Parts: sequence; C-alpha cells; structure tokens
Amino acid sequence: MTDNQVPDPDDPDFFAKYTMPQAIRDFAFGPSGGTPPPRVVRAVRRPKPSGNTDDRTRQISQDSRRSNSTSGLGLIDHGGASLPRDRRRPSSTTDLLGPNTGEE
Amino acid sequence: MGGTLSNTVAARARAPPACDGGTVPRRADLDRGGAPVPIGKNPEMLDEAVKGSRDNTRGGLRELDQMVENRGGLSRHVKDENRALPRDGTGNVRSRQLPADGEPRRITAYRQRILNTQKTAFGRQKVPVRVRRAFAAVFGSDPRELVRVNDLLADNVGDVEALDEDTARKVRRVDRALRMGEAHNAADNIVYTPIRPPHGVNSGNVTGWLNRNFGDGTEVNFDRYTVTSHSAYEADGSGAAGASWRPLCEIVTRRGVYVGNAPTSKGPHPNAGHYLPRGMRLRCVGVKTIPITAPDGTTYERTVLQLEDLND
Repeated sequence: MTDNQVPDPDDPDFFAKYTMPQAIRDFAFGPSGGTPPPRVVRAVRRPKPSGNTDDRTRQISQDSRRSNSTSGLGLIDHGGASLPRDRRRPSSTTDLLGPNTGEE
Repeated sequence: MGGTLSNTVAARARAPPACDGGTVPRRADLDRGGAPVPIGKNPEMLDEAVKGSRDNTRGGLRELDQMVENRGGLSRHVKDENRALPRDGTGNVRSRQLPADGEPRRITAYRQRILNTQKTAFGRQKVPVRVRRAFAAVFGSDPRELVRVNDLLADNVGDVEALDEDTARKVRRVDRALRMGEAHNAADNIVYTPIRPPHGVNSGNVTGWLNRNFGDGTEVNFDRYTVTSHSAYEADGSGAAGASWRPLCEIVTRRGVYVGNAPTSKGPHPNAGHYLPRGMRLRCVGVKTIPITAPDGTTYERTVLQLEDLND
C-alpha cells in the first residue's frame, strides 16, 4: 500500500495499516521540491509466442521492437511541462479555497 | 462549508493589513488563520478585544468540561460525549526535554521504532467502525474535509456543540480515535509543524515578531487538528518548499497519535507523521535558531517557536 492510499475503514486492521497520506503531508508541510524523476513506463509483459502467430501477436512484437529501440528498457515518460505543476498540491484544494487573498 | 470559508475570506479582505505597528492593539493567534495555501499554522493578528473574547470563550468551555467531569452518575463515554474539548487520553508518559539549542534535529530509527510499536499496539485495539469511518473521512486522501472541519472549529473557538450535527458527530468520533491512540503513548513526543507568518513579516523581522507575540509563558491554543511530524526536515517541506526563513513550531507534548511508517533497514522512514488532537493548550518556552539534519547528512538552520503542554 502506498502513502497515497487510505485503507478501507471497514477493515478491522484499519489503524494498523493507516499512515499519513501524501496529500495530507503535502497539505501540511508543502510538497517536497525539485523536479520529479522521470516516470518509467515498463513495457507490458507479453506471452511468449507459442507458434500460433496471428495478426495481433505480430502487432505486439512490432510495438515491442519500436519501444526497445527508443529507450533500451522501455519508454521513459518525462511528463512534459505538466509534472512540476502537478507536484505542487492537489488542484482541488485551490478550487476550494479560492484565489490567493494576497497574504503572501 | 463554502459559505463559512467565503465569509472568512471576505472578512479578511475587509480587515486592515494584519501586521504590527497599526494604531489598534493587536495580538497574534497562532492557529486562527485558514489555509489560503497549504502550510501548517497560519497565525493572524487579531484586535485585542477579539483575541481576549476568544480566550475567554475557551476558558468558559474548559470550565464547562470540568463541571461535566465532576458530575456524578455519568459513564466515561457519556462524559466524553458531553465535553466541548477532547479529554487527554494519555496515561503514564515518560517526560522528555527539548533538545539542546545546538543539537541537530533528526529522527532516529530507534525513536521511529518505538513510535511504530505504539502504533502497532493501537492497531490491535478494537475501534468501532463508525470511528474508523469518521477518521478516514477527515484524515483521508483528500485534505478538503480536514480543511472544512478545521476552519469550522477555528471559527467556533473549538466548541464542538456549535457545529452542525453531522460535523459534530464526526469530530467526536475523530476525537475518540485520537484518544484511543494516545493511550498507547509511552513518552513525550517532540514534533514539528511549519508556521506561515502573516503579511508584513519577513526574513528581517520574523525573530522579533515571534519574540514580541510569543514570549516565554504565552499561552497558545490549537482549536484545529494539527498535522505534525517527528522529523523537523519533513515538517520543513523536506527542506525545499517555501522560504527558508519561515519558522517551525517545535512542540514537546504527550498528546497525539503517530501515523508514520516503521523505519527501514537503511534508517528512518521519511514519513514520520503525527496527528495532534484539537483543543491543545500549550505554552511558549522559547524562540531559537536550531540546526536540522537532512537525510543526506547536510545540516541547515531554521527558527523555531518552542512550545510545551500547559497543564491545569
């Protein structure tokens, strides 16, 4: 279970599994700074060809070769310009609290 | 909720700039301000009369709670349900002192292991499902409910009776969860939460502002639930967010519940979270500049407002 997930409150072990969610952590302390590392999208594991190479299997093989030629290990998604903005905090909090009141 | 928040924002917009040096005597309330941006405590400068009125209201609520406690023929549960402020649920807690001024602040794996043991003991305890659901609703993945409840509590000086029925029921259940959790506390906690000083306070005058408004012995009340960390580095936004001059609260308290992780084989886990209950009554014991050690071993300095439990 990651920090972003809150266990099911109907689970009797709720408090044993509960840890402070990342959203609350970011809300209280501010998000940790810096640019996040590139997100690695692993190639989907494909079944080994068993001799029955229909059209779909050939298509997956072509995709796999293309992806390997790009990064060696899989596609690296740097997230473009949206990642740093997403790391600030949930945009829903901004919506809730309205525009900055000029206190800062 | 939207109405309350928008009213608060509108009132702030009408009010004169909240800074020192005005003609009206003003006093800082460390926990009054809402959260226009996400950062721990948002102090506000209040008119002397407003601050005094809020302090008197809190005093009245504590007197009422004392009357409830002294009343015979009521079960523990009924007394807890009729209190305005939550009862301290701790038992025998070993006293700890704040570290020396020059001692670098960092959480150790040893301390985190002890905290996690307390958390495990709480996890084994039977907690009613309604209490678990209320806790998950307030301290869940979306901080909006925590913001809503906290703002309502601050607007009503912590008086749960003044809240709407559903919110009051939820608050009482969260209080119960925290009370059950803090019954497992074995030693005082030393926890940190950031302060976002009001407009007009900057790197040049932040220490003076803290000393003027939070001198030794000043009483501070947290009407809200407070999210803190046993790691000063974590509470400081992992050393990267916000302005480096922004101070932290350094609180030594027996209260609250550890909600962080267990240490790893490499050392302490970065999540060392700790929730403090609402209705905290604290006393200022100093404004210091202290060193904080980051996980990579580097050390930097921050200004802290030191607080400790204020016992009746």
